[in-house]
Amino acid sequence: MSFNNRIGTFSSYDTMLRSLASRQKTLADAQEQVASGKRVIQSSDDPAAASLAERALQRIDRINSDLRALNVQKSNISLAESTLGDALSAMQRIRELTISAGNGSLDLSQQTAIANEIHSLRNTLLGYANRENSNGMPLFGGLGSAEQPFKETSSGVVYTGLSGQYSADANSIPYALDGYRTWMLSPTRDGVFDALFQVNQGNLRSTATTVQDLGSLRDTVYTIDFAPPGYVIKDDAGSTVASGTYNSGQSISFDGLALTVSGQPVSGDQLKLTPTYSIFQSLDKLVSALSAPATVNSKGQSISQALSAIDASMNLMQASRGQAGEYLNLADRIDTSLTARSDQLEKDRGQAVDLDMAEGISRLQTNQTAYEIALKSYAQFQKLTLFNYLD
Amino acid sequence: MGGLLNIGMRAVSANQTVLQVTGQNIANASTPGYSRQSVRLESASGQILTFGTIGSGVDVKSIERSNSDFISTQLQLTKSQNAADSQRLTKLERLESVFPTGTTGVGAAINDMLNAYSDVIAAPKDMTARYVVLSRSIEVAARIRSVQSQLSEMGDSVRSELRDKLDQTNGLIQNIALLNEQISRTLSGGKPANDLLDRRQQYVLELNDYVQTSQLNQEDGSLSLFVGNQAVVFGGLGATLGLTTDPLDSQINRIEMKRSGISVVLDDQVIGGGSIKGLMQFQQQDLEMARNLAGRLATTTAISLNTQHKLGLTMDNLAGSDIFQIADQVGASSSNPLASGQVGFVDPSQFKASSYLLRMDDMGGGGELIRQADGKSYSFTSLVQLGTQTIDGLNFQVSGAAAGDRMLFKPFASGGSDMEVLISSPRELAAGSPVELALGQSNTGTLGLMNLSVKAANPNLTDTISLDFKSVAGQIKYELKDSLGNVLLANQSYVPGQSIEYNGWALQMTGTPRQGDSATIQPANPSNINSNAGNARAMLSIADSPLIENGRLTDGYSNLIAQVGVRVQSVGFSADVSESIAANLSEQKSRLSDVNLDEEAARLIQFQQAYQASAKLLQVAQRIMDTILEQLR
Repeated sequence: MSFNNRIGTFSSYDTMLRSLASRQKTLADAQEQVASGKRVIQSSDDPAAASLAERALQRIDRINSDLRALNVQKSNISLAESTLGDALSAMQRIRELTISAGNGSLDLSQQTAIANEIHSLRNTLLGYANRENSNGMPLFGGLGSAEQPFKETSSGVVYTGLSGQYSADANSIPYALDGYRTWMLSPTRDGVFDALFQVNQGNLRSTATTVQDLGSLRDTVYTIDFAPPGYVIKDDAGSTVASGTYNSGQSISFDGLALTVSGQPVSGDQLKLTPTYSIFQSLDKLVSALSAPATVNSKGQSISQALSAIDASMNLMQASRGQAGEYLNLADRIDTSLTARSDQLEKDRGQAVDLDMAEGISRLQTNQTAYEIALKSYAQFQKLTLFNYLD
Repeated sequence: MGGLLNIGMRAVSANQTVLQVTGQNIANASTPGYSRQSVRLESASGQILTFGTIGSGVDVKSIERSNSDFISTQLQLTKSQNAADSQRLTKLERLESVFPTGTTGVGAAINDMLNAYSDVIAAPKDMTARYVVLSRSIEVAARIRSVQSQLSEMGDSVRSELRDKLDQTNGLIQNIALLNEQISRTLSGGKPANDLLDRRQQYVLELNDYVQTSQLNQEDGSLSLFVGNQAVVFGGLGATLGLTTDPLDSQINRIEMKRSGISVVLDDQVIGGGSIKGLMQFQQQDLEMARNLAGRLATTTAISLNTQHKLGLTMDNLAGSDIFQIADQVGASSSNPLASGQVGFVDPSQFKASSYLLRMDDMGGGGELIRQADGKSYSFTSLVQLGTQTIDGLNFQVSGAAAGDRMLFKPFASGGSDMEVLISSPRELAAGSPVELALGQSNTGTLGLMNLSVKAANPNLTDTISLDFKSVAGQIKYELKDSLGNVLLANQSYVPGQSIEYNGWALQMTGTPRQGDSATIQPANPSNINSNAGNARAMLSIADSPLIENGRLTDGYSNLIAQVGVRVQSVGFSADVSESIAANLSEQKSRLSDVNLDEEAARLIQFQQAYQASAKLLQVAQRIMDTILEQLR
């Protein structure tokens, strides 16, 4: 006979064992979660969360790498900025010395002493320009250079690096400043020309050139020939650039430049305007002018030309220094934003895979209790059999 | 009197039989597959007398077995399905452990290696920074090799497990065949064969654990078992199952059935369940998927880095060489021994994690190439035409294939298994770029360099090219000029940040240029090599390039673990479902067929009493006999 509601003894033990095993597994999983602090231990626990956490981790690593690079950039630019500060102090001193050299009561030996100090400051400046960071990278290497971007050659100091600058972006500032823009002069950008008389039988004096129109500047040597009552200005190809009637103290303009010549010319007098390519070149000329007795050009003429170059150069250094300061501010903002992003990513990662400890522990306890109860009821159940009651 | 004695004897015998059967049930309460037996008692017909009928006792009509073939077959089916699912799940869980998340995974190694280029950019001549790049590259190669080696081991272990299971299966088949003979003999002798039937049913259940069968009861009591439409047991004859390799893919196994000297290879589709099915599914779908994904990640990383590295300059101003050892083409296996094929790697950003099957048409010299992962097919008109195409970033060179031939290409399955770093010295790291940019010395605008990198080899790469900016009708345009001043491209619009590409380099600038500004691309000055990190910048940017299914290379690994995780999760769900269905049916069967000890205990009491009463009856009958005999003396 068979009843509708019978159960097999063997299978009921089997069912209970299966239930025990499954509770044991749940308990073991809960223990593993609490022990590791993670809700998602392998990817199959929650593939989307595991994948999100993995991506977040990679991005955090990348941000750390960018921050490390940013620190090097900050340290480079900061060193460059303070170097420019030192350079500007040196330039200030050079300026003072140059003006003091104009004192008419100085004799040659006193002038030479001033010239020597200027020369030594000039060498200090060159050292600043070639300064490197702790890794041997030049601070003013621009887009790339050999170890010493500013080289002494027979024709003066030459910038051997690549002029230009890397731009800053959302994650970085440049590693170096543009050396060309900081320490060199360009006739077509700065318009600094050295005006020296080749022949001055009259008593001509000239001021330094000033820039009237940037767009018209040219890189060429100008010669102004005086043939009273007029003058003719030619470039180095021999073409006439301008000509006119000479009036003492009146400004002469040509090719975007202007200068004022005073005094009375004698026919054959010639003023030559050579482009100045660097402050070093200008200082070298000043030093030789001060160390030797004046010949064609008066001391005053040399000094006024040098002062123009010094001022132009100081402007450039000041501008670079300002830009360095800008970059450092930007770096601070980048640092803050990268760090914030990294923190956010870490939070996202934690939310995805970390275990809420309170929830995890309470679940662990619940599972433990449930398992205990299951064990107890198994023990109770197997005592219940009719055979116990038959003698 | 005779009647009473007769009744008594019959009663004693019948009750004794019931007690024995009850005893058998109790003894076998825990025997797997045992169906409880019960005795059918019938009252024996008696003699008809004038005043009515006196019965002549009780007969044991039959010993019945509580069993339902229907439930049993259902149970077999569901257990078989569950066996397949849980076997596949076990293997998948092991597979998952080959791809850990976090810092020990391949993804973290690739990420760390690429990030290390950032330190080379900060200090191009720092040997430590270069050395870190090399040692991290070595770590990437080591982890990838380890992954492929673990996957290969899993393949081997699946194969050996298949062999073991087939051995077990063959043993069970022989046992069933033997039982078939015994059962048909017993039944033909008119006797019931309850215990033999139970045993055979149990063997069939165990067999279904390995491979699913369908069955047919034969008239002589034997059971025929089929896998698909192939008889694995027929009467007293059992087939032998063995393992062969797929003719095209040596990594895939198939089951072949040998019977009476004939071998038939079973189609996968006809094997419906069982742990053998689970192993085969794992081998063909899951392991293949994992190998293709891992191999693609390795191949894409290695080829992208190698290509960019070779476009750069080392510290000694030499062109870079391959960083990683990776095969640049993989041979195919062909159904025709005279045909051969190679698949070459062309464009990593288009790679798909799949193998490809080439099928030649029956005529015409054309055919189709089928991507196995999703079945997409590409037709070609001739092998020559196929050889000119780039399909999914791959190029297929095939020769000698005739009509109807098939060829299997597996470009990624072993990708990276022999990956090594070929560079030994930090000086050989090609961090330098062969071209450099100088901005015009008299520039008055705010042009700045964002990035200059070499994208492709080009014979004119190092030609000096200048970009001259002019103001045209209020807008800034530029002209591209060569070193002699000839205009190569005129009237180009300038957009900050936009990539300007020429001669194999790509230039991006920011800022606003003014009339007269310029920028010049020129060959890199060898004396600048120690500050030249142009190619290191390009290597670092590979991390962000859309190289894996249009996602970043550094996200490739997280996609891989998601795919594997989803597969494990979904098979896990299936296993849970099939397990609970099987448990349900098992419960139903047990309700019908299992022994309940309390029930048997009650029956024991019942029939013990009946036996005692019957014995008493005999005693009474005997006393009556004695009395009569006493009287007759």
